Amino acid sequence: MTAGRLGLLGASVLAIALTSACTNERETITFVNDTIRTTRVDTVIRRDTIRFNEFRTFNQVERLGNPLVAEVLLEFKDHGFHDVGTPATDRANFTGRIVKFITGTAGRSQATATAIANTLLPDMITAQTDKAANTAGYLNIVFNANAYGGRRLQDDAVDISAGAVFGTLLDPNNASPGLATDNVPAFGGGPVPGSGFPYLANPNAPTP
Amino acid sequence: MKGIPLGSRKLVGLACVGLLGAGLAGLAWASDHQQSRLTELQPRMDITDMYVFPGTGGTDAARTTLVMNTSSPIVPAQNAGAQFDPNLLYQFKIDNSGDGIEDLVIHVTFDSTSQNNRVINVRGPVAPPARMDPIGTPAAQGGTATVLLRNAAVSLIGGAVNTNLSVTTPSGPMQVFAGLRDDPFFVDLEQFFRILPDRKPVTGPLAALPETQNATAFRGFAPPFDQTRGAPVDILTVLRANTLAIVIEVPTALLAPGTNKKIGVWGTISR
Repeated sequence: MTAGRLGLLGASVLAIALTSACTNERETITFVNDTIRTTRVDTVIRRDTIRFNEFRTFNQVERLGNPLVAEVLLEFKDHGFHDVGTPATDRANFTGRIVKFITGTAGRSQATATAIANTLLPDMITAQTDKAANTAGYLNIVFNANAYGGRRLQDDAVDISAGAVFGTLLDPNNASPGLATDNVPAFGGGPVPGSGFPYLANPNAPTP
Repeated sequence: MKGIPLGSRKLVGLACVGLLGAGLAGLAWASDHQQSRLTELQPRMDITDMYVFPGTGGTDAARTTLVMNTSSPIVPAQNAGAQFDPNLLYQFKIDNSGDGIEDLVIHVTFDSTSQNNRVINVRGPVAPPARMDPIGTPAAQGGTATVLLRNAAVSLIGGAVNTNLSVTTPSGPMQVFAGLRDDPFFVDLEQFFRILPDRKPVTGPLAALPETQNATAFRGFAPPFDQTRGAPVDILTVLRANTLAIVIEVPTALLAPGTNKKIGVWGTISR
């Protein structure tokens, strides 16, 4: 649908029948405007997805780098703002909010809070690809400058993050031991990833 | 935890069976599951986890594996209808210069000619395309608005989902998989929402948890238990939750071609 067609939306009920050239599927979208009482029906041909995608602008609606940054350290109302942002502006946008949570809610020192914020922002998973493969592990580059880092499937992101924010991983003072681990074992007792590509375990099948 | 008074509301019991029987909307959260209203209501726009690890099963740093999990939880009964959205652009973004700006992108899109015939298109890794602002003026590369890569040196167009695919690059093979897999994430979900209730979803059974904090510690451990396994499990395991995963393994030289071998990786979904 072009901007020109959108400009035609001066109708109380506008039904647009979208017809797939490939499948003859029909989709109807109805717009309702109580103040205008004309009705218009328009029909367009839905282009195949590849060609359609080649000529459009995509706008970001979701983002994820490090696990748990938004979910734990940012208030729910800030999650949408984080989703449409970029790592380049993360420190300017989120350092203060993360420090506020860690010093306020978690009760940790300003130095600890700042250290955690500086580790997690910009919000990207950091991997030192010239380091040994067997040194991979989520956030282990904080303690070992020669580690690979990254994030493996088996890494306990909850315990690592909670251990830093609430536990004694970075700071022995004012810790909350009951929040430093969720006590869930690796993979939650579920399927273990395989050693061959694509590594993630087979999907759980419906019960017969 | 400091600074949050313990809430006075009575705990809402959420037994495993009750969760399973109460529907799925708004149920799951993991590292980034349904973290906003938009992704809660549009799960196919939800990146639930990102992973970056050495290739060949974690043994070879000369290869790098990138994983983007989306749409979890998909319970087995929903497997047949689970599919990537052909109207979305899934991107892996790689910063190899340390400035938080993507130097390379991998564009992943899906196309279909019928509901049961999904194909994956992968373009890159390559520098992000120059984009236009809304009135057609050239703007900066990358960022939060983009057009689809058209002339990527490495492209895999038209591969089948749920299949291990491979494409040749100057540095070696690139492997691609997109499809349904077990969700590997694990967390004591319900207790987390009792501790930080403002993070809980607004729909589904977990929305019934108290609005105010009524726990100050994780359980140790922690129902729900999977009686058939005789071991503690988390809710994603109890649900036998699946995810729509995109897994790409590339020669590391394609991601860090210069002297700086430190990369930052994040994923995005655009519409």
